Amino acid sequence: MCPNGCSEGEKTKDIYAEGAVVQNRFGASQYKDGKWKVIERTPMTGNSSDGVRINGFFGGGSSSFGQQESGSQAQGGGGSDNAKLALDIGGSIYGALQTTVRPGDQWLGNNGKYYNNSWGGNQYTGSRSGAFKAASNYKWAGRATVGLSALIGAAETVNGYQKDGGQFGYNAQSAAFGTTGTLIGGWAGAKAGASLGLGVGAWFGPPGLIIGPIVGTVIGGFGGGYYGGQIGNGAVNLYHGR
Amino acid sequence: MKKIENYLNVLHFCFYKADYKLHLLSNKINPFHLIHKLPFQKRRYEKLGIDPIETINKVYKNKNYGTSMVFAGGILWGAMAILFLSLFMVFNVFVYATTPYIFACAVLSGGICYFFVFRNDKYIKYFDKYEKWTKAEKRKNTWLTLASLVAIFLLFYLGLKT
Repeated sequence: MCPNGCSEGEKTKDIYAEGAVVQNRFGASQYKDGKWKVIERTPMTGNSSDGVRINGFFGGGSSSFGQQESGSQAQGGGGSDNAKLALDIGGSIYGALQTTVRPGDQWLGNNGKYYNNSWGGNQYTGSRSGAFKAASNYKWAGRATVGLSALIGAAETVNGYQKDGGQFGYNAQSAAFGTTGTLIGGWAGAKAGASLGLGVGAWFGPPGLIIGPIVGTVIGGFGGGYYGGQIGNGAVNLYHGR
Repeated sequence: MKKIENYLNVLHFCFYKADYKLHLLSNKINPFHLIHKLPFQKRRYEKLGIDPIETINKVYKNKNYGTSMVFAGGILWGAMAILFLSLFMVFNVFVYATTPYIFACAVLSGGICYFFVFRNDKYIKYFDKYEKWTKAEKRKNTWLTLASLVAIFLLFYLGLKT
């Protein structure tokens, strides 16, 4: 049914050919294939005719880092954001596991108790070398996650630069500042979390002194990384008035 | 080869030192450390016989498994990977950095870092040597590290422009 205010031609379908799409004056309906159809309002801030969608400061759409997306590139952006997020979480967990297994001058036995490095272990605790090997593997994984986060950030900047038509525009800036914010935020968040975790863990006896900072580092590092990335992108959005 | 190994270990050591020094600096302004000044927290630490700040510092400083060492290793790996990414761009190998290229950069840089720095924890031998640097050597190597980072970023910028 034609909304109120339609011309006689619209009502009798004389004006528009079959298949034509016309945005009407009420903003929520269009004439398509000879029928009136109510369309949903979409949170587009860019030019919808170009097929460009821009996410807001607090995310939305497939990308959580507020990047301008276009066509198939949008899929790639969302994928790498997820990869970065997974790496952030993975890095924190691997770092935590490594510290759990070998915190300073001690190592974690199979029975869940900590022993001094000078003692080699027995059939109940497992071997010291086994604990060292596990910690070494976690150390490798921790390095890899930090390195890959930086690399993915650089790759996103390259792709953003290409999307901006060979200029260091919105997309490239968003990727670069988002990654920098994620790394700095994660670093600072981990420190804050470690301090808080130690404060809380101290009330759970000596094991809490190890577990507390670890849990704090994971939560603080993840939260700090996430909000650091958001702040980095928010600053770029603010600069561009978006 | 020996020169490359020494150079990469110098970078790794400087990243480690920079991260630990930043950690010590952040201790001075970390508002979450105020929790340790609360009277009931202080009493708890005294009962356990620990200094909370020193306990956290130990976790960061440890050369074998410390957080600063892991972060330094990650930054070295990432910097090397960005160097390869930049070289690929300079030689017009790709336009968009897709997954295979990212993977190639990660593997190449990881391999080099493993061979020259991480394998059998050979960096510890270098760390012990570098701890004895004179003030002039410290300054020289700090500038060398900074210059290397700037060079990588310049190459990355050049790669974008080509």
